[in-house]
Amino acid sequence: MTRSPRTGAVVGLLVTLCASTAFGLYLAAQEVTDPFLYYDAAFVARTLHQPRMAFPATGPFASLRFAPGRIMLMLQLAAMTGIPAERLQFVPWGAMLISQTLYVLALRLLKSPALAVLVTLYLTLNLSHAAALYSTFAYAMAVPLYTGLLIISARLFQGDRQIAQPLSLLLFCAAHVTHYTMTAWIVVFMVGANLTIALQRRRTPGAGRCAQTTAPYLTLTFIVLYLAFNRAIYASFLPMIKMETLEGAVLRFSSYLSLAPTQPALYAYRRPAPVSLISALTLVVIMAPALAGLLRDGWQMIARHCPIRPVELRRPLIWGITAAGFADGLAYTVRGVISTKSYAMFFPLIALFYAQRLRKATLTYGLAALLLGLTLVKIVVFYQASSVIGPERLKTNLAEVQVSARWLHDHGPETGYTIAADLNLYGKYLLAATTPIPVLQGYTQALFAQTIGAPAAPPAAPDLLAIDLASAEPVTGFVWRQYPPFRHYQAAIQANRSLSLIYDDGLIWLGAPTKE
Amino acid sequence: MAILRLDMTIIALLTLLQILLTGWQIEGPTRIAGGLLLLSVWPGYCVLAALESRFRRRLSAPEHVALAIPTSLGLHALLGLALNALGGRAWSWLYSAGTGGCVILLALATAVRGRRSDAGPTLSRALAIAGIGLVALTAGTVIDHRTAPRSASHLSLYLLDEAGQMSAYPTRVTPGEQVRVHVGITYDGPIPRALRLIRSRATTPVGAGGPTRSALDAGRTEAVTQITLQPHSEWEQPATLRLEQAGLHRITWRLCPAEGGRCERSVHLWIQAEGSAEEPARARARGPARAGGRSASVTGGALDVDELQGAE
Repeated sequence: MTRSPRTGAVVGLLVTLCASTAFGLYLAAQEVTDPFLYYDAAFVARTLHQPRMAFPATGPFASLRFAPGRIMLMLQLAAMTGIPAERLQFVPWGAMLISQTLYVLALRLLKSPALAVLVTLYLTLNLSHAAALYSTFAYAMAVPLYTGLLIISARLFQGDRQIAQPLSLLLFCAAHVTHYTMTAWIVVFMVGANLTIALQRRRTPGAGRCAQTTAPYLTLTFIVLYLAFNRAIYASFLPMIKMETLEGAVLRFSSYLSLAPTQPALYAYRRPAPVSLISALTLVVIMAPALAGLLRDGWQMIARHCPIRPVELRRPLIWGITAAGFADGLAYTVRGVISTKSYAMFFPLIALFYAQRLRKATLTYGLAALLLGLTLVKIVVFYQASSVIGPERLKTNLAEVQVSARWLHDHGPETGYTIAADLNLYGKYLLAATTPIPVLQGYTQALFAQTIGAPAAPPAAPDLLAIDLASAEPVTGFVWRQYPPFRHYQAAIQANRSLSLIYDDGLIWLGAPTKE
Repeated sequence: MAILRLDMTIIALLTLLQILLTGWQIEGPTRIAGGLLLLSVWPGYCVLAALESRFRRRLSAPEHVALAIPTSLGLHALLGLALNALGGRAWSWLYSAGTGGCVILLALATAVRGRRSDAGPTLSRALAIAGIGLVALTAGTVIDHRTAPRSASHLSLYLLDEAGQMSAYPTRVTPGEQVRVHVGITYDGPIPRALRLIRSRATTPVGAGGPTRSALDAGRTEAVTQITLQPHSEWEQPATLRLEQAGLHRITWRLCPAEGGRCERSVHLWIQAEGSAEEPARARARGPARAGGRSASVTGGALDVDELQGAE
């Protein structure tokens, strides 16, 4: 008995859901999380019993007002499931949502359930981006909105507008209140896809030209909404563009690829070489065929003497995704981090799409299997290097941080004070409801050097330093700068004459800088 | 002839169960699974099912599920924010019941609108819905197990300033001047613990370089206190120090097992003693400050200890 394609697609959907959810549950057991998610969870914990959700104008929760939708969804998730707010970040919600939407997008682009399963599992099992995608971080909610819009836009561009148009608008508005980056992706995608359709129509006069239609008014509406109502771009994005953030981006990307930066920072964190190698290799395997295919396709569209497939319904999606990917990479670079998220998430689809064009099934399936294989190897490599996951404890958990948080609550100043801490540890203090909320002073090169007793131009000393001794993860500081874990500098910190250690519970040290 | 669409019937029943669980505040895997689905799949699924006839081409089962997710998220986020702006509480039981009620109505209305020709696609959709429900239930079971409250046993050693706060530690004194700090321990563990609190001092005279690491590790023991801590107990005592010798002093308190072995906790203060001799003379005339007869003093760098009694 042969299985119908319809059943095969449903089986593929359930296979990706099962595998992604199982891996998400494993990540949750390892307490993998994004440092910024603590802010969201802490705010949800404080708001859950309030009559209204209101964002403060200042303080650590002020920036959450740029994306109130995701806080609303987290509040609703906590209320509907009964999961405590501080555990929301370990619910593999994103793994479930992203696997479903991405699978269907892959199915639409590649028209093969097996390929769609392979490429979806490549992403949902990918540890490089797991922390941002698998649980309740902004991406977990926003990526399904973006992917949903890509799926529905395929219908939109084929003239099926009656439902597709209002649905696209709903998804755009939801993305707008959930994650400002994703709104920008949608705008750039729509522009890229519309331009591609326009170019295709220009190049194929005659019979096939009516196969697709542009959506100029919808795109214009998106642009107007984005520029008029997106406060984050004016308040947070544009002011961040400066030399320091660009330098931070280059350093971080160098660390990602394990390359020596042009101006080596003294204490920049370098990932273990095997981790960097496998990440770099994966990026090359994705980008090489994707770029080759895009260049060839782009040339065919532009050069008048080249023949062009008259009706390629998937091309606008491909070029829209490409435009959004490059725009995202550029946008994050000027904010201090060269983001590979969009390349890792959506460019494998492009690579496989162009591999399919060569009409060699072995090549296409081989590439998809290679991508999934690299992801599986990455799990082993990351585990052995104790990066993201590992056999040993990677950081102090919330229950353990509660002890020092309670001490700060009992003995800290009644008015505000500044605390220098890694973003992960600071987030746990926020979640532990330490009051008054200490003001974070992010680590810079100078402050890091001062903490470990190395000579440095003295920065403005914080009132308190918090150090997670158990953490094997890099110390995340100002504008995504990363420094080596403090556990490597225990003796140096103890010998630091400008820092008195005033609290030790075996996992957390609190230090008071000696102020002149 | 109309038939009952299986997928919509499953959704209506599961949503009803979820409303009851939320209303009765019953926690557990079923509520977690139901909540995940009510928030991220059911509303969008029902809306798309109701509007399906308006699509030029039918939605396939995977497409229906995949589009249901962003549609549900979008509806919940926007409706929730609108309610919040109007003063409503979009994370209350009423909201869950309201949205759940709408889902049930929509599901039932769509269920009886199905036609026999829908049987094929409906079966694959029912399969998808049932599969998603099962995965959500399994995930809910694991999540429920992981969210059980945990408490960490701990042993912490700390220092506070003279006022019992963590803000004004002595950093610079004149030789002979008295300084007072508070030393404290908190303990939570399954059994009582016998510990020794050891205070030591490493001094770098004026003009010398910094103390070597081995000198810091060794220091000079100045006081040893035997302490027995019961589970869930706290211990705190003031300690008075007098640094006669000019130079940089590191006063260290270490918490070690009473039976010997590696010390488990350690805190320290760096104090610079410098300035005129008149100030210490005046300070000495005032005499050592004592609090509760349990203070320790250090004079002239020599061992001069008021042995502290443990707080059993």
